[in-house]
Amino acid sequence: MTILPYLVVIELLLVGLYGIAGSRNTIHLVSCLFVAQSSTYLLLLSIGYVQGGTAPITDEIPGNARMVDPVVQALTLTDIVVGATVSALLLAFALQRYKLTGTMDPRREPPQRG
Amino acid sequence: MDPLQAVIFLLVGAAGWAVVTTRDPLPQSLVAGFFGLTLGLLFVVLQAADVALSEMVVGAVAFPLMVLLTVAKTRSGSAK
Amino acid sequence: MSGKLRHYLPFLLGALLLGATLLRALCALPPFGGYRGAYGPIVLNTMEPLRHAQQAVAAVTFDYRGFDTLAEEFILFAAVAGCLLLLRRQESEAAHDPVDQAGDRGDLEPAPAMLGLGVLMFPFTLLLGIYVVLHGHLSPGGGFQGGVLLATAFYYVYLSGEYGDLLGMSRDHAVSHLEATGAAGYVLVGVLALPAGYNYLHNLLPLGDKGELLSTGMLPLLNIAVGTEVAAAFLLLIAAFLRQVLVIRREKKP
Repeated sequence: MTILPYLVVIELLLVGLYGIAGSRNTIHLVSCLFVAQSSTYLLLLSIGYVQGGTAPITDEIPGNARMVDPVVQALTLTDIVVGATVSALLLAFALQRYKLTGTMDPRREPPQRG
Repeated sequence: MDPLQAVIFLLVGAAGWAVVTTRDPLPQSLVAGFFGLTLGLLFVVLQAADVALSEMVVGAVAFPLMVLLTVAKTRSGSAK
Repeated sequence: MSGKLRHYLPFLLGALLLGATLLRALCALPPFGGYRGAYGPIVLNTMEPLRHAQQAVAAVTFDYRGFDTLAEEFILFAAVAGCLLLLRRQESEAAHDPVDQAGDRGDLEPAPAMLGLGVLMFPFTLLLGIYVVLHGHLSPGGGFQGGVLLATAFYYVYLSGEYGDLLGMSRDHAVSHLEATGAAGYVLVGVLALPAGYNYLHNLLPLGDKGELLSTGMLPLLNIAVGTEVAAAFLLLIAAFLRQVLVIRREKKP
């Protein structure tokens, strides 16, 4: 049972990669990348989880209470921010490519000259 | 591991699968928003409130909005 | 079917190999819920005596890893600048008046319910965003989450049918100046400590009482800087996508 989180992590990564490999639309591809990247958030948080722990906010909680690891949560926060901006940049690239070539299919030949 | 956590883990796995298998980007943006929502829910039960909040605003609002606008641009371009 | 299968066979083989390797690697990690990392307890034990902080994630993000967050903020800044560069009006395109995409409801006013919802939700979302930014060092939230909330508040303006206002708002350069101010603010707050002979981002402000709004030294200042930058960045980003849809048209070839 304790292996379930890691199985979901692997499933999300592989499913996302499957979508990217078989994608026929650049927007669809970006969404699949979003799924594949979500697996990293899950992995980080699953590693840092402590059984029976509370969120790492000590307001009105005695100092000796069990808490989940705050460091991995801060790392995940960075991961999400970077993931969002990368998605935005890729969508802008997809839009620009569509304007130049009139296609959203990533299998077509890329435009040779900008 | 709580049963609640197990159920939401499975829900996230299924929602991720649904995002990938929805081939049309327009409905896919809605499914991606739902996927972001389930991720946010999962982070809440994993006691990561900060991460849940940022996943909700990014995964369930900002990202589907950008996808939706990109789809709108490509659809209107092909119609004109 | 067999042709399709053969088409996907290289991927399936690779995925199987990757999955098996990952499974083997992840099983060697501590089991779910049994993590005993060294840094987490150190942060939890030292943040209260050192910073009077009660929110460990904010303390890690803006204090223990403050310099990393500076770099992260500039990743956001650079990515948004790249998007705006890509989504600007090209030479071959012309800007038209905003047109409603659904032609059959061209002259319709927005529904009163939609307008009312927008008017009602806009100030509340704005307030919530400001609250989340300001209380980032006390409760879950912070500059990034609150910033995105602030940016989405302005999309109620668009949803209520006043997209001319929204585009006008972000076309004038106030928002981009705001973004630059937020990004520079983080750098400057860190630089303040240098003339006094301390390291970059060294805390100079009084620490205050734990749980107060004005506490934990520079954390609220850094949160506000990040919140300003993120709100302006996302406002510019989504306005750029919106302008692509509504205003910019490809010019007809002669």
